[in-house]
Amino acid sequence: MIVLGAAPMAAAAADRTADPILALAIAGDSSPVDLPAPGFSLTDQAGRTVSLDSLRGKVVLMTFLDPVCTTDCPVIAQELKQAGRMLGAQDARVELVAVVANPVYRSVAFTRAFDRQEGLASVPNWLYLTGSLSQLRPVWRHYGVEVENLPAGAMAAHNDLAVVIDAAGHIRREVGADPGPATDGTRSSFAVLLSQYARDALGRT
Amino acid sequence: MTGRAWLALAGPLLAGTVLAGTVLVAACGTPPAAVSTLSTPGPPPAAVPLSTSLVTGQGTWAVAVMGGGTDGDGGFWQLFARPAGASRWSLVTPPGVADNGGLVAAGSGSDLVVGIRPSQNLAFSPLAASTDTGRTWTPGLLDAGLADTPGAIALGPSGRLLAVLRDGTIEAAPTAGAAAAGQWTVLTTFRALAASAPGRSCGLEGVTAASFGPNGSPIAAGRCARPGAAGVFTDAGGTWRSAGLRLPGAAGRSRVRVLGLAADAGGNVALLAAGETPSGLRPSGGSVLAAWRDGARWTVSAPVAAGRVRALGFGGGGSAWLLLGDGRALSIDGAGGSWGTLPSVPDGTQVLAPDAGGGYEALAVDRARLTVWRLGRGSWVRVQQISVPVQYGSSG
Repeated sequence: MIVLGAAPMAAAAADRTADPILALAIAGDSSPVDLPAPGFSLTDQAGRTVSLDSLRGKVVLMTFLDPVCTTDCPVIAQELKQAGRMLGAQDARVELVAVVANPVYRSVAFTRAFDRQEGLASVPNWLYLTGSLSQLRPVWRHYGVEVENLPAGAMAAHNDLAVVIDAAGHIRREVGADPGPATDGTRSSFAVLLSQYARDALGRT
Repeated sequence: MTGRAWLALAGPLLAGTVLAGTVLVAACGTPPAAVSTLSTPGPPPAAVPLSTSLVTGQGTWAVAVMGGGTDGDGGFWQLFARPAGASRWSLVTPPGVADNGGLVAAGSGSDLVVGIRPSQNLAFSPLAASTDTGRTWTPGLLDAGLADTPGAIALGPSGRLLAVLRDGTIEAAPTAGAAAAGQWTVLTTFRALAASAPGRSCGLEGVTAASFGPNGSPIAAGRCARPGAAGVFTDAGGTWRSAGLRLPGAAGRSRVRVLGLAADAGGNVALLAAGETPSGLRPSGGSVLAAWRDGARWTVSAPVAAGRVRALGFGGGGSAWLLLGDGRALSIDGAGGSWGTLPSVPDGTQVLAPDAGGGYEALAVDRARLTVWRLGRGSWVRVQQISVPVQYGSSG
């Protein structure tokens, strides 16, 4: 049985479609952790180099998205975007970060196309990072994301997860980010969890 | 949730990695119940499915849908290649992207470009290009949705690309490199083409295909409301002009839709459906014609009675083939040729493909198995089977 704290429930109450119980039921519970976040240096959708060190001082909500995904990834991106909205003024102290999870379709042209598709191009604290395979593979490996091409017209396979990194560069949460069926009932449920975890991490600074 | 094994994320952590003991999961998840916001604008209902074949300097290519229902619904589109001089086909579907929305292929010389039509939550069209018969692919991007027609992409000998979008806009990329970077510009919109002098003259209702003329100029083709008008237009330095195609006889008094358009040595070849109703249906009185242009003058075949067209394609030398809804398979040689009926094709035949000997092969689909039949001595002989590792539940 999953027991939730009052804060996520209160946040959920502010959005009639958000129910973090559903998010936890879909992707499992998440325990607090305290691990140094593996560093990376990748390229954002504007062509700028972004390293984890350069984000120090901010809380980072980070996930892994396939820019040509037809199913979950656009939904997860919307959950991240919604989490930022739920943070209100605190959003300025949080970076919403996605790393490309596709071995083939991974150029900046694709991260930009994904951003336009999802209405993320104007989100100031949104970073969609990519790089060469030799840059991406260590990031996937260090964060436990397995990415693989599947044959015969299937999407690239990868696992859905998000991590919450505090301002000091420590991972504080790992969250399964499978959005499930993305019905009205589940929509925003991950956003509630992520925004709450972000607040927890902000509270440490 | 078929085929999925999502990670449990609360497990112990190993030094040096955040997560340990990961299990590779199926592709990017379950189709969300939320319907995507993709718009499905205007132009005409698809005249023919995307199943087709084409011939390039690399060899022969075939596009077929597999793994879904008999109508292709819910299936995964596959690309097969038979290299020039070879007798066997291989599965060469570009990796890294779900293609449930359909594949559209175009070739020129030794180059082939494949466009992946968007589906579900994807709103744009990834591309893939190959110069080695599909052994390796270079990704590209069209930041818009390709039209649902086998003529939605054209590749010119200079490497210039044309793409017909779902709203009838035609975009152009000057080179494969530009296409890879997503650098496309609008050549014309459906509205502009319909408002041009030849567009008004034909009563243009939709764009169905793009190609290049012998001088490298873009050509657009579509469906006309005005009886007898055949909507083939050439781009003369930014001004669209009629390509001058007129259909004779009864077809010249019918509504006409260009079903397919291809570049051929020194000219173009088109397949046209005559006798459609305004809603796009072709009753029993409908017919199909082939037309060839040698650069200036058109030659039009006699019409052949045809209802629904299940698939079509072009071979070398201006040849073309049709699979019809009544089960007939028809072929025609180049300019001046006449339609011939092929022996009844094997069950499940989705595509015909020209073989090296001037005959045809039939590619038949049964769920995840492709069977290749070769026409010899008046009957189809099974020559090859390919089991396709369809990833059921991964993205469909």
